[in-house]
Amino acid sequence: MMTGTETIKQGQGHEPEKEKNLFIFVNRQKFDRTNGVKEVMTVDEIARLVGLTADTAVVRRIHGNSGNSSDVLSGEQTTKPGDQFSVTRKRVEGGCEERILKELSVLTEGFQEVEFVKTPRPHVIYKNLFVPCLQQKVDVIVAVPNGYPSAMIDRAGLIEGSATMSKVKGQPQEIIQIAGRSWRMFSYHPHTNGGGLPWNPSIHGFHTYLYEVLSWLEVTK
Amino acid sequence: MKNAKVRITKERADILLEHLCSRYPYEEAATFFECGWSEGSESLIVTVNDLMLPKAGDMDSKMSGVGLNEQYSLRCALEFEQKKWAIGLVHSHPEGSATYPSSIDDDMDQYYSEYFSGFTKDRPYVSLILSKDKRGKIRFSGRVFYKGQWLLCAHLQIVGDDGFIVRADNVKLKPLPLDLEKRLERLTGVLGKRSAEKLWRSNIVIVGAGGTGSALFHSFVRSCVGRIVIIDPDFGSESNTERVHGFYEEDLRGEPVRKVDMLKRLAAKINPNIEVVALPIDVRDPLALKYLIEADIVFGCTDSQVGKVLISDHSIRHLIPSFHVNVAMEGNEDQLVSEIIHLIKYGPQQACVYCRELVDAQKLSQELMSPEEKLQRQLAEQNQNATHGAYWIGDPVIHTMGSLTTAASELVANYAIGQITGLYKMPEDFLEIDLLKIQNGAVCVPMKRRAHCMCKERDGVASQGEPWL
Repeated sequence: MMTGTETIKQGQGHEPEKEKNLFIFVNRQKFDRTNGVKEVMTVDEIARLVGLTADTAVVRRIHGNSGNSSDVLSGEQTTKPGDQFSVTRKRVEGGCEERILKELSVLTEGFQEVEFVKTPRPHVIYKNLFVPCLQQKVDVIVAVPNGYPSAMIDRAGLIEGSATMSKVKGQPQEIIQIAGRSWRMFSYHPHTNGGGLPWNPSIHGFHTYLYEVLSWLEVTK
Repeated sequence: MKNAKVRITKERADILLEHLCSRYPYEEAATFFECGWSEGSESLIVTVNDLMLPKAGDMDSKMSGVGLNEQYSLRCALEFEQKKWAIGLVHSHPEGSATYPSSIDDDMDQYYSEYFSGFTKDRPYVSLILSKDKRGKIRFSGRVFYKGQWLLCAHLQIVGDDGFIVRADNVKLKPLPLDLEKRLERLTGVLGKRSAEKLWRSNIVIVGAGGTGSALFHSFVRSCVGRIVIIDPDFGSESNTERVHGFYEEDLRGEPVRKVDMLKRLAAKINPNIEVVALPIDVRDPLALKYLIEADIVFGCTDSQVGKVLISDHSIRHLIPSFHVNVAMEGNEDQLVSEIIHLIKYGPQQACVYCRELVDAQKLSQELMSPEEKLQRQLAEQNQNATHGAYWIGDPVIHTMGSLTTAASELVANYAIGQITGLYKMPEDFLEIDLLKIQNGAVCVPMKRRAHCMCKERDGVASQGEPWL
């Protein structure tokens, strides 16, 4: 039988004490109802508290201060005040290569086709470049120098035996095998008194070297 | 803080580089590591300690860059939470590559600085990038997230017998003075042109501005060492004129002049381009210690026990190559029988001042007493029933000559230039020469750490270990 007090409490906006103080820790940072903490949360909701999602992060429970963590969690989780969770990116990436990819994406966004070949040695192939004197399109290969971007991009290569070979300036040099094709490299040094500005890694890259290559194809013998 | 400086022992650097280059020439590797840290006057000093090399499954082996899987990140976060160290991450860039951070490196560091902050609270997060070329040349860049701001690392100092400094790829160096090559023409003729640049870019601290310290200072100014911090609270007195470089007749008239100010004036007259920081304070002063721990090399030119202990302590805790020089003369009014120069090198993994039994505990206690306690002890000593020296042993007067102190200092300067340029080194870490017995009087003895000495646990602990004083 309800007492008068209980009648007042029910349906009058009064919450039970334990629900008001609901808070959890994610990566040792405190979150409460104002952040979206609820008694039952999906792992995605827990991950979103720290800016990640269930797709990009792994969610686990941490057992107090012991340093032990649970197996990977999924689905829904019941939360109690003080529960500890870890939310960690599934994979954190770092590395050097990304600069080249970023430069090449500038070109692809401008509808210039490029290919980045990593083995046996890194090279960039500019595809379907127009040779005015031959009214043809060619692919041009350029090596990624050791020490890039401090080391400057230099030289360019054409498919061995192509008609363009007899038209471009610069001494023919060695033949290399990249991406299943044979390429003849040429002595072309735009950044060393070759017509271009001196190499500056803050300004130049594979996205700017395209213009040096196009100049090379335009100014022919 | 303006920047950060990173130090690592040669032994640990070799292990680290072996791991980082294990996927060369095109692929990269990474590892977390523990580090100590201390705040200098303008630099955060970071000492690299144990590596937490990845275990099976920690890294995504299919990536040519680095991919750190969740298990590795979380395991390190939970382990570091229980420790006192700061957390660091170092990864390699491909063989011969520059070490400028890429945009995914930026994203990685942004993520980890926030992620680890919950577990490690106010401790720094350190991120380093290294690469090595075919000839073994190392390149480096780094940054530290500390107290809400990112600090670029100015350099990586590899400390050991064949130690050297790697300047960061992405930090602009101060320009070389136009007259540097001309000034050092004779030196570079022997040591090569790069030696001039290395001397110019060095930052050294000299503790003590007396006979040995002032002579050493003078020598380094003439050798174009770019930055010299000189620490000594004393004023010049008439008896110093025989030994202290930079002390002139006019300094005897008028107000007493501090020795460090004399030296700053001397440097300005020889080479005004050299930056001199004159600290007229005791080496125990917290400000002095802030400058001391930032040095590329420290020189102890003091007879005090406190000075000896501090230099030895910080050389180990902060991985700083240090030299200590003392002179002694023996004889009587009729004949001088010995003119001894002691030269000791301190550093991580080397015998400390206690291993070498060079600390007089009673003198040390006396130096550390407050003025009131000193007075009390002196009065007690005057009690005729006291055993002589039980309470007070008197302030020692060190008898010496300017020619000896200058000779000792030039010997140190010579070895220091070898250390800075990386072209030669002191043959062992302890050298004792008796100038009056040259053929039989040179002792050059390596000394190992004592098995149970507390110095063994202190390499690289920075401010996270208890200081000796």
